[in-house]
Amino acid sequence: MFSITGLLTISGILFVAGAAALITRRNAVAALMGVELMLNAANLNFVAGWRYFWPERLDAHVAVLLVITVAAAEAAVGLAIILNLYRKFGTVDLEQIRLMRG
Amino acid sequence: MIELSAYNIILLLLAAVTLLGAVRVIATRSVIHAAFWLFPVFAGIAGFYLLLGAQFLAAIQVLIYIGAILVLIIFAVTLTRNAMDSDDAPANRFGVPVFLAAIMLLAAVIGAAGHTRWPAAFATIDHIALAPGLEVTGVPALGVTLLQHYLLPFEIASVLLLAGMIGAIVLARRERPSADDDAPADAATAADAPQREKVGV
Repeated sequence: MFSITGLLTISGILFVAGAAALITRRNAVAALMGVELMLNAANLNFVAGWRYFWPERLDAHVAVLLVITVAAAEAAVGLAIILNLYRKFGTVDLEQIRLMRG
Repeated sequence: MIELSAYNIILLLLAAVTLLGAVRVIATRSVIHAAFWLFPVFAGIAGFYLLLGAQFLAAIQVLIYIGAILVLIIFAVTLTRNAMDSDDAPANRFGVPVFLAAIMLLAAVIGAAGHTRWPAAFATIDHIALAPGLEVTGVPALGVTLLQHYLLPFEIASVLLLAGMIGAIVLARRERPSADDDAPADAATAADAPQREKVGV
């Protein structure tokens, strides 16, 4: 028997790791990886809640599908923005990119 | 305490692989290595979906996260390669405070999960997905749910994907000045040059 606390702990660790990566990594692509980790943790929570508390309804599945859709769009646009930053500034170091101007 | 059945052992192995990958993603100095360490994380999450009985979501996880997003991230890393010196610190100056705050947040989350009184009937889970007849749970029902109760979010998601696709193409396209505005474009580039130096590039 695997209690839900174990799954919540795993997704909590994933979320915290993603948040720490988003805040502390200097490379913009690595910061985006942190966002992906956080979204995965949220999805795991949705599925755990569905499995343990409401297995007859599939609303959590819809939520996970929508989150994955948003994650795909976010990754595409975010990485395109990062490529643009790299062309403009020659670096993707978030400490050096300070000019808020095209 | 956790009973050591085959199901639980596989779950624990998946958890170990996933968390190892997550820690390596945030701690690895090289960005391309961090991108590769995302693979065990995504694959481990897909394994969790499979073992929890959400086979369709496991397939979607493999297709989109591993097949599309991870490949996209690796492409982005290689396209911005050599942008940072490898001996640069991977973390900014918030590294230590954020680490401490993360530990505290994690303790709060785990404490809240541990102290919540979950409904007793649902507090444990049986050996679902490893049963001999591995049935695909609820994919027809998922289709009905998606297209009847959640039709508007579904359509908005498709519009969002279209907007994201167009936006990514427009943003990532290399700017080519057309023939008639060559001179202004060059002037703009020259005017930008001192500012680029100011930025320190």
